[in-house]
Amino acid sequence: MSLTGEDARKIAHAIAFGHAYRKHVADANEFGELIIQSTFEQLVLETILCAEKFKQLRWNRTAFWNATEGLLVIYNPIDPDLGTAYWPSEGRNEFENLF
Amino acid sequence: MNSRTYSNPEKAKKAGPFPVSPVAVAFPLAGPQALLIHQTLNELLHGIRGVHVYSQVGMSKPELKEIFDPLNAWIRAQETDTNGLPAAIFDRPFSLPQIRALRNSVEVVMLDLGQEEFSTRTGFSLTEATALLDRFNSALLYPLHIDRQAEAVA
Repeated sequence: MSLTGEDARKIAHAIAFGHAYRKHVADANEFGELIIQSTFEQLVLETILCAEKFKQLRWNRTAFWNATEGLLVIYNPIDPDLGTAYWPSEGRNEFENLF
Repeated sequence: MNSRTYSNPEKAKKAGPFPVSPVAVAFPLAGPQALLIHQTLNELLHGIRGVHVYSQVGMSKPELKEIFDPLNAWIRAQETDTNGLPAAIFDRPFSLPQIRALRNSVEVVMLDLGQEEFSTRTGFSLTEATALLDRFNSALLYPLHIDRQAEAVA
């Protein structure tokens, strides 16, 4: 996976300002407190750039696991939002079993 | 109809690694459908929050894990095609409650992830998941012997 810093920023922005913020932050409160979109964007960017683990999935998707924050980011180049970011109930297991 | 009842319960028990009731039916899954079920169960067991699994699916998480674990081992042991899909067929018997729970699992995950996330998180389209739901429904409704063609003509 060879993403430039600029690529990562573009992906993080698209995800944070796409459906993921409403669904996982505002509605489901998965983070545990309400954060603003720019903070969410920063968390997504940190996850992409400094993921504890990442792996290539089918259909050119890439998953990034941030164990510190419990945040999982999936980059999907064909998605209008370029993917999603969420806090799975069992993050490590969720990540390890994505294909 | 692609499900068959095992006449010999002992044979049915030996055919699969996870617990099945004596009334087990063959429900062979092509590699892509096996992976779709695997991804669905992964979401239900490890991803999605806020789902009341037992009431919405009809089986507890530990019971679903008894299906997931051997399926997971099988998936990881398979050679894959150029699309990353298992080439082999997952041919193990399932009890009818298991088939019903798998059907419900797919539906719950489809509705929870929705258009926005289903493909990104599972790697499959909602259309592919709908085809699998149809297959589950056909198996579950097999005792009714519905002749759709004849009913459509009538």
